Amino acid sequence: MVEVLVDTAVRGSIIALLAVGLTLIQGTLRFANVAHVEFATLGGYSAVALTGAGLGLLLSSALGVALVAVLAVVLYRLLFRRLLRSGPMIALIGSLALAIVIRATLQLLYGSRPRYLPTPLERGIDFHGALITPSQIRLVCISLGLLALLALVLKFTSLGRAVRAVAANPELADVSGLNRGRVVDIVWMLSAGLAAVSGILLSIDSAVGIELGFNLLLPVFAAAIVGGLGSIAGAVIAAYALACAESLVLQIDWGAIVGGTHHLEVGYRPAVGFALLVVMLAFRPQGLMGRAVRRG
Amino acid sequence: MLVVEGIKKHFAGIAALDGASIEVRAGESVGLVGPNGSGKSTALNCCSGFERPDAGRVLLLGKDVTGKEPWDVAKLGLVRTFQHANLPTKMSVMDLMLAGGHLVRGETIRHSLVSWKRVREEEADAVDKAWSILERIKLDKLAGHPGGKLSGGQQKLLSLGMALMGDPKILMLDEPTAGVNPSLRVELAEHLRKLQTEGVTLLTVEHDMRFISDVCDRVYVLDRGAIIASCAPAELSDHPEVLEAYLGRSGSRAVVESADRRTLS
Amino acid sequence: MVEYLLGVGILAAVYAINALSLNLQVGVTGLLNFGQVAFVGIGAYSVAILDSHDVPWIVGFLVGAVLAGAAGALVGRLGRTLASDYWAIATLALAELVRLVALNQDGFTGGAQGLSAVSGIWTGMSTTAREAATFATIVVVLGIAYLVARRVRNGQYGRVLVLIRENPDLAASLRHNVVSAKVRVMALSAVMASVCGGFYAMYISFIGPGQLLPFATFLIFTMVVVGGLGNTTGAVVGAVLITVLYDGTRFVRDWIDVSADQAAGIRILVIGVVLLGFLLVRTEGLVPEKVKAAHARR
Repeated sequence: MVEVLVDTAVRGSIIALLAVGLTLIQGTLRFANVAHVEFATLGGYSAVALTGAGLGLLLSSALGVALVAVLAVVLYRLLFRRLLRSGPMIALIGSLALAIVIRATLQLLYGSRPRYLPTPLERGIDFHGALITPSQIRLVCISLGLLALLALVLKFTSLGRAVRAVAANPELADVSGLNRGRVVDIVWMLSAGLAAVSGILLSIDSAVGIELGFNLLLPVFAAAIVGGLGSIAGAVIAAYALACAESLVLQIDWGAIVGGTHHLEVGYRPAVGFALLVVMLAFRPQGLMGRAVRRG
Repeated sequence: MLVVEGIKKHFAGIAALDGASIEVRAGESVGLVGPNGSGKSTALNCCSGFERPDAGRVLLLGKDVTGKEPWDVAKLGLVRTFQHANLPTKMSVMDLMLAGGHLVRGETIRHSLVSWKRVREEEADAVDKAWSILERIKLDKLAGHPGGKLSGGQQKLLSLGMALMGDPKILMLDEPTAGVNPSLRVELAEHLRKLQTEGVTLLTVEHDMRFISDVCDRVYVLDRGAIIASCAPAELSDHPEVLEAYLGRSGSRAVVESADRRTLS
Repeated sequence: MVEYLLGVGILAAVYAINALSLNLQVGVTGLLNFGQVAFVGIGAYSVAILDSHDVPWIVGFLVGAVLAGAAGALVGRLGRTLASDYWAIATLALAELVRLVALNQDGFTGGAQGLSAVSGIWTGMSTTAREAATFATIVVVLGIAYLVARRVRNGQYGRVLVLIRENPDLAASLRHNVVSAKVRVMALSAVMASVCGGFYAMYISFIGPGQLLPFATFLIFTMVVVGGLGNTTGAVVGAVLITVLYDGTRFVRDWIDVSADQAAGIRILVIGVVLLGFLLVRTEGLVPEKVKAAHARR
């Protein structure tokens, strides 16, 4: 059981950092950015590149996050603004295309074999029967810290008020004298930065491969949609709930239902997220904490 | 023809409709007026199946259509138009007219693949009908133009034409004059009067009081989700509560417009 | 050389059927199906599984078409309450589910190894003759698919689908059952995609979960966008061009010195850049959707 808890905390944190950003973009631009998870991959690879150039892990990570944040704004200005002008459908296809381009470029530069960050070898700590590494503890603490910080920024600063105003009503925000363009730029930097952090944390915990982001795409979308797109708290709660469900489904002995002892094969782990996503979309598209979406 | 009994509709705790009742008899032309946010559009949406009322009933030709799908309501003969026509730029005027028609065979995959001779005949009949309606609303010269590239007023006219393709028994118009220039408004009013003489029942939601008095026999006044008056358009000014609720702003506009009309003629 | 050209031709024709199907969904109706490969997979696996039990191939095609059609109708039904972008994500999730099932149900699907030695359509001929006969057969099937797609697009049903894409409320107000229209177009497209899948499995005589990756859907999206969203002829044009391009990049290692891994990256990159470029610079594609001229008076 402790194993489930540890698993939930680690995977939930990674998903939460990404889902929060996705939800922020959706809230301000009304557009589902499929390429969002690629910012995590880019974060991981920029840390690999910078440590490869001889920089320390901490400095590389910080620089990597900054690089990805800047790249995100550049991509938004050069690409997404143009795509969005042709309508949400073109923007969605375009974000998928961008995701593919990013992945292919990384494959061209780094090959498809996973890369490892130079982290010191750490001994796992025995925690009531489950093994935790210090890097996992750091991962969870950093994620929770950043999520708390984001919540504080959105709640109490003028930037936060501006972001919420744009999210609540993109058309009205201009009237009340806010610079909508600036707010959107900052939202892109914030969400891409958080994505990069999650990518780097995940790379430290295991490794970075070109599929790092894509493997998270559906769980992240599931969390953001289940949480009610646009709701930060909803996305975080849903992320941990989803991670918990994934972990539990594999632990539970389904024998009670089908007879005998029957554990679901590990290969089906990602299926939990997909299934939850589809069920959620079919029966409660407004999400757990979101408002009703108009039909049509 | 259309009976609305005490419908209620809430959005996020705010009552858009609070027990409104409306009755439209066959052959009548009824107006629905009220200030912004009084629930006019919600009422129209509830009648046409685009919104499901929280309480109350909608009866169309004696049948309960409360909460039915829009297309099921439309199949019974109620066709509505929208405040913003928003016609597609990728469809020609003629295409849009045909889309408004009822081509039973052409709408199924099986028939369009197998019995395409009959499908073609069906379409040829619809094309004839479309031409005659387009001539009537004077859009026949624009038949090949993209619908979405017409002017706002022409799009409103075309929406009316598309609705007519399906031979509606009752037409519900949501602000038919919004964004339409004055000369076209007069033309639109004439079309609606003519339709009424042909037996089409009309329910019009409108801000323009002069248009309402030109087109409607009777008017319902909606305020904060409830009907506060029902009378002939000319008697509207006799109701102090109506003046208070509504005519303060639009009333003065109507006066200005009737002055305009005098200078024009 | 002839065999190579025939091979590319067969592949282009198979992809063109797929592109026609995706164009009906995305181009005509505006349904962003990111899980198209699932329908292809259902068709391919039906043919391959039944073939391994020595069932005639035509039965495999029929079973695949029925299964895919049902799946398509279900997915279309799911579209009823969903805004289009969530629906797109849901289709991607469903396709990944299908791939996971193919990967994990070893006894049935051959698991990660997939099913190989699927027999072709014209067995018992010499290689070149068989390729030519296969090509001819698939071109005939493509011709039928093209006529079906065109007829559907140009008739009243197509008109209603375009109206649903552009303004669903307006379509509903004109007594068109929006849900049923979407369900039917999804079912029809799924059947077309399953036919494409069946031929694909028979031509390369193999099907595995590796063929069901989202990139396979992405490739078809590129074809439809390059050809021109909403244009039936465009879908075929796009399919031919992108097949030639994608197949041609197989030889990238003959020109530049890169590892096999990097070469794979380049091939994907080329397709991604082409799609992104078209979306940015020529959104309407090479053969844009036309506004039809008015019908003449009788």
